[in-house]
Amino acid sequence: MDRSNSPYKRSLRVFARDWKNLASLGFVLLLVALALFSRFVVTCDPDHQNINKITQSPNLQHYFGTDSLGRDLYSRVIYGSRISMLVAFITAAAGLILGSLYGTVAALGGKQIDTALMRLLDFAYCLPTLLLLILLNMLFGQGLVGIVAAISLEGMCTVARLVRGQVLQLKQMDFVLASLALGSSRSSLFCRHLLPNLIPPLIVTLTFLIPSNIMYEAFLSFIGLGIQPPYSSWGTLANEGWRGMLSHPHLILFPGTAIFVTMLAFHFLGDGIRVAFDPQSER
Amino acid sequence: MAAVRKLLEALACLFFVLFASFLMARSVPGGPFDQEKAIPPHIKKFMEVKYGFNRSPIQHFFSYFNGLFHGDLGVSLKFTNRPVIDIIAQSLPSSLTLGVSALALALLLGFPLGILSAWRRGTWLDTASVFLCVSGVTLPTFLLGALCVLCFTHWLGWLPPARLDSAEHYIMPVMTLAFRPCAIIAQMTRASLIGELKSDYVRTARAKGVSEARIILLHALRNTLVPTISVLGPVVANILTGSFIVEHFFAIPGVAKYFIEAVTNRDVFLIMGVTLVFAVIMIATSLIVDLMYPRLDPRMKNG
Repeated sequence: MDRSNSPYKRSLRVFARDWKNLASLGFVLLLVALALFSRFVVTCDPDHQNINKITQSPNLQHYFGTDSLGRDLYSRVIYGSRISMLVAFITAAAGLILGSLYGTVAALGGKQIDTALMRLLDFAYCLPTLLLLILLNMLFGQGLVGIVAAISLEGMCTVARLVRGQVLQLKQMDFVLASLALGSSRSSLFCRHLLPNLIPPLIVTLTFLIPSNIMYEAFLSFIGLGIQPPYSSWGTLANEGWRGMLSHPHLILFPGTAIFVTMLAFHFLGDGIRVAFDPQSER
Repeated sequence: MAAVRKLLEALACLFFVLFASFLMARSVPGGPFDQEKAIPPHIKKFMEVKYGFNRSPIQHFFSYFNGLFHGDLGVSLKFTNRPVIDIIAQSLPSSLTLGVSALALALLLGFPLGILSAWRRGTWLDTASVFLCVSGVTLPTFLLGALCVLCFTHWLGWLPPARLDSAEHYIMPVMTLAFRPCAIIAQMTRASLIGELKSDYVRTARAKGVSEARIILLHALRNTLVPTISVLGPVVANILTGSFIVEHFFAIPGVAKYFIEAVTNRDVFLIMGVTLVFAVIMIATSLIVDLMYPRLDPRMKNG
């Protein structure tokens, strides 16, 4: 068996040792595949209205039942995962990239730039996240683009703090001093020494950013300020279901459970990755 | 002196938040006077002048800010000419009752749960509490609300499904709102107590034969207070975020519900009024937490 000491191989080994990690990884991949290939998984057109089959309970023909316009809820939940996942992945990636840049500039740019940039971030910590998202959404305009921009910026604030802390810590390390003493430029210092050390914490952040972004998008859509028709995400489906909840509980339970199950899978995956990258985990 | 400095910093932060959110709220495309039925242009112009929308955003903000010092939060643009302060005064009490009860419930349940879980680490009790914490973080608030309503209203018929007319109306919203913060508090308490139980002074106490209950309650618990208090900021933020979902879900006429309506109506001054309330709560919380640190941990007095 390969016992090399490359940190990534070691992390992989720690990760693969626990069946829970593998199961959650498999489940996340399955969800992504469902979103990507939803066209082949659905049983009928998610927008097709059938006036003879409104608000049916789950049955063999319509696994999750039908909604108040006679649309197949199973197909709508599967299609809803596309928007939920798309928003979560794009915002997480954008937040990660913007936040890393912001945090690195703050940490390496000198005291004044650091103070100014960090004060600007304090804004995000003076308001509850959902309210901040709504305000940002007003700035960027409603619709898919506005929501993506708002959630990305919110994620940026979290990532920037983390990356700044990491870079400040790394800056104190001997190998950075040695590299500076050997005359390396700021950019090569960043690319060759800082970035490789930042990647593990960033991967861990990514696995926590994706589920929290799924949740924020769902919350925004649930209160009616998120995704608007013709698109629908799990949050919009839950909002539609909420209206007729007492008479037709399946309308809110299925989209809600879809979010819950996805959150669980990402939670365990994130936990596994965090442990795997922890240098003390193997012992 | 440090306290005064922190207070000034908090006020500066509040000013900055108000400034930035005013610019965002005012920048809404469409403007507050665009409705389904078009208003005649001269009337629209007149209204813009009346509410200050003809001025530059910065000038507009400072006239608004000036008004704040005189207790004038502006008037609602949708609920014609109702002062924002009236709307907030009317809706804040129910929101506050809800939020404070949820916070109290989360602390009362989360803290003991975390202690028990760390004490009986590895037993079924610990597993159950960890399971509860994970679902607390991953369960969407509206699914929890739906399960509560289905269980207590639909099947058992014990509790009313929505609105706030009597004390029992509060039970479900408070439970729904408190679940996630409770999980966060329990998780944090458990983790920090487990860390504390590995430290040297605990080992010494054990070697001297001190009972486990005494070690936890008299020695270790005090040291877990600092990390637990530091989670108070995120917990309050969580309750405020949750209040949007819960007030929408249970049709509670609180500030968050008005905020959602105000955003749909582009009611700039009402948006600002609610933002002000939430920002004051958030900033006050972090100020209180900051001021509590040195009392709990004397090492922080000089740091």
